[in-house]
Amino acid sequence: MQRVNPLLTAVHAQFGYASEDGFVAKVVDASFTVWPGQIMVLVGPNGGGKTTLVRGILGQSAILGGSLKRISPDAVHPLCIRYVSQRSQAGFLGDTVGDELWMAMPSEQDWQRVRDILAEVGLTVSLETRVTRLSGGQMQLLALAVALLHNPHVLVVDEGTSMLASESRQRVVDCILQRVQERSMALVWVTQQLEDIAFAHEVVVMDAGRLIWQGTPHAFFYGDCPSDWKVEGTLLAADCREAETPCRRLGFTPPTVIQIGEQLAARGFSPSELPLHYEDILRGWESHTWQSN
Amino acid sequence: MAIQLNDITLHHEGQPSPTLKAVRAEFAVGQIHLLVGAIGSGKSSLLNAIGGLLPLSEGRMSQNSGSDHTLELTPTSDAKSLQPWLLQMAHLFQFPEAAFCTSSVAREFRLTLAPYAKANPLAAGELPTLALAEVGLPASLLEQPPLLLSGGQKRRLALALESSTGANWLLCDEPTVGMDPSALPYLTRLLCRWRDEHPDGGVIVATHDLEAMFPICDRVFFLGQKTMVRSTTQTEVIAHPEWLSEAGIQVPTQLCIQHLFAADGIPEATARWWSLTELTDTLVARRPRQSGEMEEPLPTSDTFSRTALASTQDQPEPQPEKAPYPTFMPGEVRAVKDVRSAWLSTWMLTIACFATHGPLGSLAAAILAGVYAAAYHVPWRRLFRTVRPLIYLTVASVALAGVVWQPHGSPFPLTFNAVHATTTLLTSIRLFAAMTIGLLVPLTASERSLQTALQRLLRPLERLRVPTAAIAFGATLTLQFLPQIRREWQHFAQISLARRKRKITLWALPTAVLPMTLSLLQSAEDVADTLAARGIHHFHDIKQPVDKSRWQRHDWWHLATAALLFGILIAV
Repeated sequence: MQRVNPLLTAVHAQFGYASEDGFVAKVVDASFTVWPGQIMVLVGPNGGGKTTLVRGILGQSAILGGSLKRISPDAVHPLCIRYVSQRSQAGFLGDTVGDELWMAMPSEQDWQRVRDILAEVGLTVSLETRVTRLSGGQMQLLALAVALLHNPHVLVVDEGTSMLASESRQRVVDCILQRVQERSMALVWVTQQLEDIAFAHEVVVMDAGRLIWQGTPHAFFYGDCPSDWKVEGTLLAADCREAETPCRRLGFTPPTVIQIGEQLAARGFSPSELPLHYEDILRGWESHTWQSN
Repeated sequence: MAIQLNDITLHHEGQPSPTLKAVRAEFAVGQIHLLVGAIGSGKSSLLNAIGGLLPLSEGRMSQNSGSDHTLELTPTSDAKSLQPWLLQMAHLFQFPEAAFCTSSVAREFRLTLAPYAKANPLAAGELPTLALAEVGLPASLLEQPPLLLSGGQKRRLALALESSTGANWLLCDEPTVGMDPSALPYLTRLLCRWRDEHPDGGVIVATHDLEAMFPICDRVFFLGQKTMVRSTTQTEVIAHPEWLSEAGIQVPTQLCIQHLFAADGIPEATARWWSLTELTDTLVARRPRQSGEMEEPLPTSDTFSRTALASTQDQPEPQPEKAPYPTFMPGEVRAVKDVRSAWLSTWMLTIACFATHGPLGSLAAAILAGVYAAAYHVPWRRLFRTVRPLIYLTVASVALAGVVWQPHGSPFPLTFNAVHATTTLLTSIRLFAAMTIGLLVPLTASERSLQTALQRLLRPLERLRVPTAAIAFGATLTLQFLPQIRREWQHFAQISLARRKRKITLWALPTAVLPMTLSLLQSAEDVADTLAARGIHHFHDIKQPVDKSRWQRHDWWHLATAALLFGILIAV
């Protein structure tokens, strides 16, 4: 991923909705940049403003202050943002898988492309299958296929995997990550699963409408908290102890691999040796990375 | 009191085949039990049945405490025997925050504690404050409306509410789904405390997320193939992670690591759940092998990659013989029956069934109805349910029509006139056939195809700039929302039963309004979001399935056949 030609730049953006009493901002202050090929993971408590921010990116929440620029890399078309939600079946318009893809197709009569996309996401059902007959994982894959049909520059996934059983979840996650890599599109990924963070280029923590922390997964799990870090919000109402990493400080329990990494760090291993996911442990075990002297 | 399930069978409303059958298990006290299985394996249903929220179809459940009285639930249990069972059960639903329906946290406590008021004098006093403190919430929240709490606070309030009851068993349905990571420590701590503080009860968790739940569990029950396939201890599962992948569940990371150790000459790594320190110690203590020592090749990283470990027992998916994606051209998108021709044909035939007469006509009508029902692939059960009242009516009217009252000249004043009865029977058969044929389209056509048909009917109005596609789409959405309202109501009734410990009454109706409205608004928002994400901002952006609107040859055939049959029926 190169940090050139940003796709989205937000500067102190505020998003919200209009009510009888005026405007209500659910996202108070959001500054971030999304680069091509970047995986940005958005975590935080429910009601912290993640969904409003996503809706703001999609252009469905009113922007109340600051700025959000959508910059298209090609001169002709505007920036294409597509969305896979937690309950994508709610938005299916077609009767069958074929219908659904046909109705979503940007240019008409390109069935070869539909077949390619289906093969790409690994959805092996007939086009005649009714969408209501698909399993939860298949529905998410279909929603992903519909989103990819448009060749988006930015793909937004809002907890698209949290309702799935672990096996099918893994398949959808792998599929999304592979597509992102191949097409060098940007991924904005809202998730509750801290394991997913390890795959990201950038982690953004949101609470009470603010981006309260931004950085790499490594810094999130193993880095130091800024000394003057003081957060107003719901998260620190949790009984957080004298904690050193941003993840612990926010009251999150890190995944097993990270907990092992914390113990390794306590035994004096250098930050670059600490594992982020299971594959790191595997590699480390085989190459004797953590052999004590 | 241990819970025993004796061959219980569960059905979901309106579904012919059982969700689970012949489940036999025992949940011992003082333990945390996990019900695991893929989505749709029936773990939530089983949990609801154990909680007394889903009636049994067959079998028996009991809670025994040796000499003490025994609680029992059977398919015929009434509300009176259900209540003591419900009082033993605390429920933590998936998305428990959706159940809040009062104006303050204190009232939520009052609602939850009301059934226990007699047994627990503390209920009215400081119990809520204590319960809140246990999950890290300040007592000042008591006066706040629960809907204004943050997401994490709502989850913790739900935990506090359930832990304040006098129930012995805590039943959790997918407690980690949608839970933000900061609430997780409270959950595991609460489950462990519940186990330790309720010697007469325990915890049962239905989950597919083992990362968080497996370390604290004592026993694991595997569901699959519509029944309980295995009941084991935590230690046994540690030795056999393939059981998890067979059940469609991801193996917890730590188990992968322990098996990695075991395969590399540390057999004790699969004997029990290790502590983090042990894991780290082993990682650090690993010594490089001497070149002379190395007899076997090192396991490659492929052998122990997560997916490989998880799929040791997986069969490769059977590959379809033909290409998975049928090659089709837009012109012949689907050989589906055009709803218009289906409508026209069935109308014609319905009229013909009424118009025909005589035994031959009735016979023909009956055969026709049968053939058409088969050709339309009607779900027989649904058809039967719809026409069942008519069958009763037919039998009754045939019997009545044959009865003749002759008070004079006969020892028996009541006689049976077969001719009258036959005439009525024939008329009823025609009526029956007409109704069956008339029901074919509504029973078989999908909502979407009705939408398309409606759109085509409205097409002439397009010239008047009426947004016909939008009207048709709106009608379909409304059709979709109706079953959803029913589902929401059922869900709310279940929650209400779990909290009030008695069946929902009309009095509780106002409390249902808020949660149900919120959930419907949420769905509406989902639809709007998805539409907008696809670039549909206005009604006229909705694309019409134009290609399929052409009448095809088989539609004409369909209509011609119907016309021919119409003629025949009228003629006989």
